[in-house]
Amino acid sequence: MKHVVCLCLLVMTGSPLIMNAQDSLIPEPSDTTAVAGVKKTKEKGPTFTYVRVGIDLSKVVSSALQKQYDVLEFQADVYYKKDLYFAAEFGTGNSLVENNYLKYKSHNTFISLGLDKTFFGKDFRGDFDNAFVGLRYGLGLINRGEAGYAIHDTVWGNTQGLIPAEHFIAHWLELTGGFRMELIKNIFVGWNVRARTFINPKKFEKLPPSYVAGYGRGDKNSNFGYNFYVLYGLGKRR
Amino acid sequence: MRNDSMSFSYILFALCTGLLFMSACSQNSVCLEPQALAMRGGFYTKDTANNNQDTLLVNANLRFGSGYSFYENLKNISKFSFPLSQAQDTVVAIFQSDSTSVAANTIDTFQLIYSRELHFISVACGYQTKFSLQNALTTNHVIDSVLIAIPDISNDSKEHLKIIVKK
Repeated sequence: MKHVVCLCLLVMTGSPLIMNAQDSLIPEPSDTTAVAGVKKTKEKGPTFTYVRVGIDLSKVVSSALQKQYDVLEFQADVYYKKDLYFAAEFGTGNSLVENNYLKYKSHNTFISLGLDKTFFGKDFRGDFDNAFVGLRYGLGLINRGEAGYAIHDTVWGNTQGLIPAEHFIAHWLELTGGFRMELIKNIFVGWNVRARTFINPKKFEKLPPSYVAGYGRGDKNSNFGYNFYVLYGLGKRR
Repeated sequence: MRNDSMSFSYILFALCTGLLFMSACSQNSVCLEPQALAMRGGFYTKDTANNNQDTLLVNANLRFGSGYSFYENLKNISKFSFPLSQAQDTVVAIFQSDSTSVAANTIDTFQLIYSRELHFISVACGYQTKFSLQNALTTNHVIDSVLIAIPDISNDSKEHLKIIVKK
């Protein structure tokens, strides 16, 4: 099943390469039992033996291409058992609003914690290529600097003023789903999409930060985002 | 981990989808909401039962703004609108019932007193000022009275002020 999905995804990209995935599989060495004629893999031994840590390249690229925000986001996950991973994202970011009506800066750090559940079984020992869905709780600590505003009025004249700096604590929930694959030994790439919603949206009704690292646009109570991670894995594969 | 050809295809897939998402999620920072809110009003006369009736002005002028440098010519219409000052709590407007005449008995001055509240619109548009009318004063050459119909002025099309003119 996994290979059918992978093949479909590859056809979508227009790749002419057709592969026989089975040829590349490493045979399952041991630790199997025969149940009604079907070999089923069993996992034994300690959990949390394989960890991946990586960086979101999409944020590195998008931060370099525009000046509205400058964000670094990292991910770590650890394989628990069967189809479950514990995952965490963390990072930091600065954002700038500078237009005809507003000018202010913001800074935030964040951490989000949750679980990923993969769709497909392992084809061979240590196979971590998979599609997944996940759930996260996110926490962001935000400092918005003093903001200058201007109200344009051609009749009575323009008005200007200052809004004092403010600290926010943001809580959000997010659903995520995507795909991760091992490019070369212990080096993984993967993308995912995310749907997020603030748990405490009222905090952001008055002059929110324009961009919150880990969440996205601070002026939206819910939004969609994406990540493109490169990860390094270490530990013992099961 | 797969063989080389499969890895290449995977990379291609991942890059294409990544670029797709990046291009689809660009930030939108266009301001589509006006910063300056308009106060709306209408001219009325009293009928025999003392009810307010819409009345069309033949050719009147309404002057407002700094130094009364802005005006709205009201020709065969009964409705008007103009913004309030965002820096003061009162504005004065001049009603010239006949735009061709400067005779004192055809001109009235009315004063609007209000409170202001700064209201955040969006990151793209910044702030606007919302107003709440508190009192209206007028001279009485042509105008009989000025009534506050709806005190709160926000981004809507309601009529906030009724100016009753003498018959």
